[in-house]
Amino acid sequence: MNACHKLVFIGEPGAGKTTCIAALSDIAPVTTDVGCTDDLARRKASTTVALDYGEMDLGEQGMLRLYGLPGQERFRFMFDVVRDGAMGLVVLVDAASAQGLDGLAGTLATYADELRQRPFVLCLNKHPDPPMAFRERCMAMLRDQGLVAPLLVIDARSRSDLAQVFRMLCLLLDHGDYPVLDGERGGA
Amino acid sequence: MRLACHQFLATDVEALRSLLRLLESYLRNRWEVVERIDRDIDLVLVNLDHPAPAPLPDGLNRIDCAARPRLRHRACIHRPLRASEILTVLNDAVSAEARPVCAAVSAPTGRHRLAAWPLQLDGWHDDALRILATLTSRAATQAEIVAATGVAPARVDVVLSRLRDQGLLELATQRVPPAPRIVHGNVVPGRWRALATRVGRLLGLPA
Ligand SMILES: Nc1nc2c(ncn2[C@@H]2O[C@H](COP(=O)(O)OP(=O)(O)O)[C@@H](O)[C@H]2O)c(=O)[nH]1
Ligand SMILES: [Mg+2]
Repeated sequence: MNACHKLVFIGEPGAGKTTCIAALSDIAPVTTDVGCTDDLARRKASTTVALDYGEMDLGEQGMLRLYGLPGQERFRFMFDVVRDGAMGLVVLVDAASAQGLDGLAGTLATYADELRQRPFVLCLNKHPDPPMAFRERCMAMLRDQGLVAPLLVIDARSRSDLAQVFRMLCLLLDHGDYPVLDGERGGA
Repeated sequence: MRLACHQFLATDVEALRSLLRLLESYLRNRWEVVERIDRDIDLVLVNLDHPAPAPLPDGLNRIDCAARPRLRHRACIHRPLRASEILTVLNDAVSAEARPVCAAVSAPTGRHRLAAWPLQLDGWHDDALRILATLTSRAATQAEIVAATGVAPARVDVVLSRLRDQGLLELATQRVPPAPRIVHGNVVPGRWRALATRVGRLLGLPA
């Protein structure tokens, strides 16, 4: 029986969720970006307000299903779709913009309790070498929520960077204690 | 001292034996390559490039080897093995006999709690990352870390004190009940690593 693993990307609009899934997916990613009328529209012409989906065929090791979810509270209900069997999460932060910190604050406010139950990697994106002060702010936000996670600097377009993120997540899973991941084996 | 090779080709092992003969006069200890990997092994060389990584017993002193070591971590050495690296690694190795003594001396009573990961991971080798990964989901004693990571107690202590120096580690003072260890009934240790290797290949990381 082939295993099905779910990997979830969450982050503010513009943080790089669609980019990550496009870089990884074997199939054309299903992206539900739509035009926005609110203040987001000024930041990004087309932005994720719903779910991104992609797949990576791992051969004998099953299928990796990739989901991109917005960080804002009003889309929280969508996590129900991915909760069962989610091996872990990638929290994306736009490190090129000061608003990235606000986005992270929003994502953590929405998802802190989910993040406590699963391994996740905090990925600073869109900046080759984010300043230490920026990294410190991100880590302080995690600490404030009682969360502990590795911080990686990535380029969301780079498949090898994403492979490193995946490796890190697997390291956390191999050495950590996390609740049994229901549905992990189900080939839904 | 006893040295073993984990998941290497027989030809690699033979090459290592000839290398040891060549290096004999430069080595601090006499080393022999043995086939069986047990708890008395002083050092295990691990081939990270093997397509189906097999788990090793906990508590072993290990050195990772890979064709592209710089893509792995700083403490990883080249495969095929290079004389200069082998010389350093063997001369630095602590014998298996010496290790339990270190553990007894330094075993702390409290649990270490990780407050945060380092802001950048350059210079933290694979052993350290395993320790960090262990402490991410729970506070643990030194002995528990050794059991969960397979890293030698003396090296665990080095990593813990480095984390403490950076203000990233707290010692849980009151006696915390052990974090519930959730057993993944049908999960083979190291299975996620195998999955990561698979994904890495698909994404074009070198084998
Ligand atoms: N330079 C650079 N641009 C990026 C990176 N990641 C994403 N982008 C760009 O940032 C914009 C927003 O990314 P997107 O994946 O759509 O964000 P999403 O709203 O989270 O899905 C796109 O124009 C991407 O091309 C990165 O690592 N570096
Ligand atoms: Mg998007």
